[in-house]
Amino acid sequence: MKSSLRGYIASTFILGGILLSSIALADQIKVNVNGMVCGFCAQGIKKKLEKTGLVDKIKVDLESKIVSFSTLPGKEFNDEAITKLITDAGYTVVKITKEKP
Amino acid sequence: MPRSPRKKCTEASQWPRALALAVAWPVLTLISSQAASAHPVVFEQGTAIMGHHQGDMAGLEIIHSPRWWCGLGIVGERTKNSSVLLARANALVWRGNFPDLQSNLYIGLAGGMGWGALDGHTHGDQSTQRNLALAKERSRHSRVQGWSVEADAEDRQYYGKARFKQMFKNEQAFSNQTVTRLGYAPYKAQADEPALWAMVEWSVQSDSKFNNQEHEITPLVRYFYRNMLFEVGSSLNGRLAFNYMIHSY
Repeated sequence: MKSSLRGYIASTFILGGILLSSIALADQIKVNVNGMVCGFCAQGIKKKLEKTGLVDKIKVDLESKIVSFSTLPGKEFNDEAITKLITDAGYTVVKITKEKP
Repeated sequence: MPRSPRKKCTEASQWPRALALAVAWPVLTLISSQAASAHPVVFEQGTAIMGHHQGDMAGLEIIHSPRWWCGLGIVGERTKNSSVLLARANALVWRGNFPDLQSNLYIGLAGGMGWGALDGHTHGDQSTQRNLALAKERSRHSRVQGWSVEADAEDRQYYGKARFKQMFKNEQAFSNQTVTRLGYAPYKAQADEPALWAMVEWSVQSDSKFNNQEHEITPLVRYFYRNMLFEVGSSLNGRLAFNYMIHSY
């Protein structure tokens, strides 16, 4: 009985650790973009990002000209790939900022 | 920063682009749509359905953008005395992306069939004699081609656009149209907020020799939210206008 309880606690910690570490790997990314002036611009960029399957929580702020999103746990999205994606959507990347939450 | 879409392409992506241009443009001899609110291209892999109605003129257009710099589609238009059905290809040949401004230069080609009095005036009433002559032409069909050039610039509060379009029937020019638009947004809408614009459109239609000019000024209210855009207005000649555009989402 005691050993099964110990096993349960241990596995809970292990699973929790895995979960926490994968969350910790998710990047918060902010991209300053030139040329975004309306909702249709935002829509085009959002669709391109969604299609990658690498990110979620996509937000487009036309006031600050920033596109922000989080990488999905365990997924990598490097600066070159981000720049290419935004450029291929028709816009110009000015700066990319990555933060670990 | 201004940039040419062509220069930014990777080597691999240049081939599909060159192929698309080489195949689409000669095949699609053409004209651009009358739809003043139409976007010549949508976002990459985006599709738009656009409709316009003003007086006795109505049109429907479906356009798809396989890449962000081009749009391919079909256009159907009908006036009191004529109808056209066209295939259309548009290319965004230059885009300037600035911190608070976007500007674009497009060219368009289209081609298809036309029925009726294609060179009949589209604005205002015709004389009885003219209408009788037009009626005789209604049953005839012709090959129709055209080209257009369009430039626009917009920020979140101001919008400007100018377009020139020339149409041909059986390789002979029969119509020139210039459309100029200015717009103002009373507030700067965020990406997920409804946007409201006041627009004024000035359209000049003339025959092949730029004679018989007909001017029409139409104030419009534009509303757009998410993937839908609507415009309503009335020209100073009293012709009601209604335009819409729905993007794939």
